[in-house]
Amino acid sequence: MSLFAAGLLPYFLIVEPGVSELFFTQYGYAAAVLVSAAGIYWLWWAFPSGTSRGRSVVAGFVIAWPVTLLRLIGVPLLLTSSDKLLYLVWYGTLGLIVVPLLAGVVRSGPGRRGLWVRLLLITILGASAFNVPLDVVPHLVRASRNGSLYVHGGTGLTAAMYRGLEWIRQNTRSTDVVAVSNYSVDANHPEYDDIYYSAFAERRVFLEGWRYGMKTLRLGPHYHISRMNMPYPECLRLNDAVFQRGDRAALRVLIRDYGVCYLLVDRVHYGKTAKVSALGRRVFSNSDVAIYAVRG
Amino acid sequence: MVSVEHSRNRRRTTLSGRVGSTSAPILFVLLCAGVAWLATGVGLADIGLFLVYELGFVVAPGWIVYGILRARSGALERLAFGWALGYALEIGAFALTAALDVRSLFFAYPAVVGAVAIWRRPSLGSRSTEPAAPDRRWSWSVAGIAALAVVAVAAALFPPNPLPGAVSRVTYFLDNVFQISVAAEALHHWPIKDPTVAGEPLPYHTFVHMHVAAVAQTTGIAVPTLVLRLVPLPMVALFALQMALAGMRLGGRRSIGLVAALVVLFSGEVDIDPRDGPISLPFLGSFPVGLWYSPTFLLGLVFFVPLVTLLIDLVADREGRTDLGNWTLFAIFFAGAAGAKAAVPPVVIAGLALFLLTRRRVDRVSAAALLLSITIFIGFLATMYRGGNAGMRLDLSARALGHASQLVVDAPSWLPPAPRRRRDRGRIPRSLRRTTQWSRLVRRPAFGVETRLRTALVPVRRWTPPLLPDRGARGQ
Repeated sequence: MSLFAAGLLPYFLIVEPGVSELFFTQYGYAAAVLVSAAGIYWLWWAFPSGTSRGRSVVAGFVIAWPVTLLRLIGVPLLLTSSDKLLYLVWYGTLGLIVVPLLAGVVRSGPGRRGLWVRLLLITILGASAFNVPLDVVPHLVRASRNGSLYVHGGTGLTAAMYRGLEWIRQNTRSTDVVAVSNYSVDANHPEYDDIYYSAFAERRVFLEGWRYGMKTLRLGPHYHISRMNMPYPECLRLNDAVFQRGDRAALRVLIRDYGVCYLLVDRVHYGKTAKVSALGRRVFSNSDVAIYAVRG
Repeated sequence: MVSVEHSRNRRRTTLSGRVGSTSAPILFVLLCAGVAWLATGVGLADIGLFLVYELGFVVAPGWIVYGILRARSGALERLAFGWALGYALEIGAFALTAALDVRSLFFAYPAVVGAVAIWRRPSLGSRSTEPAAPDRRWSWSVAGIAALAVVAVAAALFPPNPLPGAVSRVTYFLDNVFQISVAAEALHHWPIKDPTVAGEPLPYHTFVHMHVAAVAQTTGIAVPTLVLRLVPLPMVALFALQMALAGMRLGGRRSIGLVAALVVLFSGEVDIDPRDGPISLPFLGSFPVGLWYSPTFLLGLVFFVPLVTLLIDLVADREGRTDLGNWTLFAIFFAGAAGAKAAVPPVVIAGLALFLLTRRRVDRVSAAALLLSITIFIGFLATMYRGGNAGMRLDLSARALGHASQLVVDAPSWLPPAPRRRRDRGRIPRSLRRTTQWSRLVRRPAFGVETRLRTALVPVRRWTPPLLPDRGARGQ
């Protein structure tokens, strides 16, 4: 329980980008489950199970409760989309079920308390067991139906782009550094999050999306990412000079100081070959990507 | 003569029963994972190679070394916690060979452990205080829970993340791309630096990336296949087994272990809103989400459970378990957890300190455990994290009362407006008066819970896994 208490502290005291402070709590939670499992077990078995009729009631409730809960969740959704009404119905009904069960536990005699305790445990654990399936399953079904299961929020990785990155992986040295023309997965809503190049080419990139850069993360959870206040301004200036103006001096710096060997123009997201084609020798090209060797 | 023959037959039956009671459930879980992999584009050769690697480079070395360090452990403990030890040893061997620039020697790692096994000859539970094999019903129950967890994680992770090149276009959850990127970096470079901004340091917990790189280096399996398919499932199954074992050990009954595994894997906060995805406050439902979207969290869990169990053995339950082997295991698991997820050491250290405080007396073992933990943590701060805090900020009113506070903050919009003048008070029903006063309090700019909650949710809404978008928010 000390671990659980220690895990809760960061939840109240710390803020981290991506709500990562919750991981502290999750580890404490795992430790607490080991203790609470014993509590649940002893609660279940601490009181006599009662008559065979009582046991039948428990067995029936195990089956009936999930069905009832699904109805309780689904029917109001057909009638209204108002948050306040839905929460009132959902959590109000849950409360209306839990409170009498709790009263039953407190007020019943030792002979029947076991039945009430078990019904209460089934109610609470059953409701908590629905959390993840309700989060995941409806979305999976919906996304599969409308074709957005794995295509959303920008273009991401196309098959042709992947072939280009695969070419780099198979035909360059692992020490080679690549410079790329684009920083965002979605050109219309730039979030500087395109890090597919280093992931699928398996090469270091001079500068790609900097959302997960360590200097970016250090700026804290309230930092609003943009080009204007990016934490690697010199890299951005040099990269833009090469890909937007075809600046040979900037390219020389990239080659000399950063070991850049290849320029990758991303035709899907952002990048034009016109400014770059004169800077190096084209070694790979398809509809989505063009790669130029600029060294050796 | 008849008696001897009968005794032999009985021994044979018992042995085959033991093997059957453990191997068949394991094979069942493996079958579930195998079907999930095959159905989502992983080749049979890759699956075979991966399983051979997992057995030869992780499970077997862990089993052997755990048996040497903790001779009294039973077969089940050696499997569940030795497997985790195997991850730590394998990552250590990979890091050592990479740092010395002799990566090819990593192939010899199982042979080195094999030589140690021949030298020390760990006995299979000969001095075990636990039954050599669990009963059949318990084994199958754990296997059922593990298989269900494996299928659930596969169902949540695999369909929205097709393997690259398998579809015309795909947008991955950004965390997954980052994991692939860092694993690729570990595969090709040492020391590991930030691959997205060449030359920049990467103060980050990278053990899981080293594990992926070690598998890729040895088997040639593609890094995305490992990150998006192969690596998470054995860890999920192992975590289920560890929770069952730890629950059983702590609670003193096998059923308690089953309850522990079930609760941690399948229950969450009571959030029955199917429209939100798992980002609802107070805890964002992130425990199960972490199982499939954060391999660092998952590997951290695999070290955390044996660490906690061992800690309890060392600190709370003496029984002569404070020997060098146990301390060595504690140090390895702590280091493994620290390298897998930076969130683990502070929880363990603060938990130990709290434990000492609440006991109001300092005993030698607890103080030694605390001191050892702090020492290892400082070592990691100096070498791996190197001052990196991933943007962590102290915020005393960070999340106040979680979801409850948000409901209260939202409540004023449902309620009649608060009166502006004192004389208007009489117009508000008595039943609503207290709520309205509270709502005015929490709406004061100085309190700012609402603002903080919404600000805190900005990154979540941005980086929510595509599988689980919240209403009205644009998926990543």
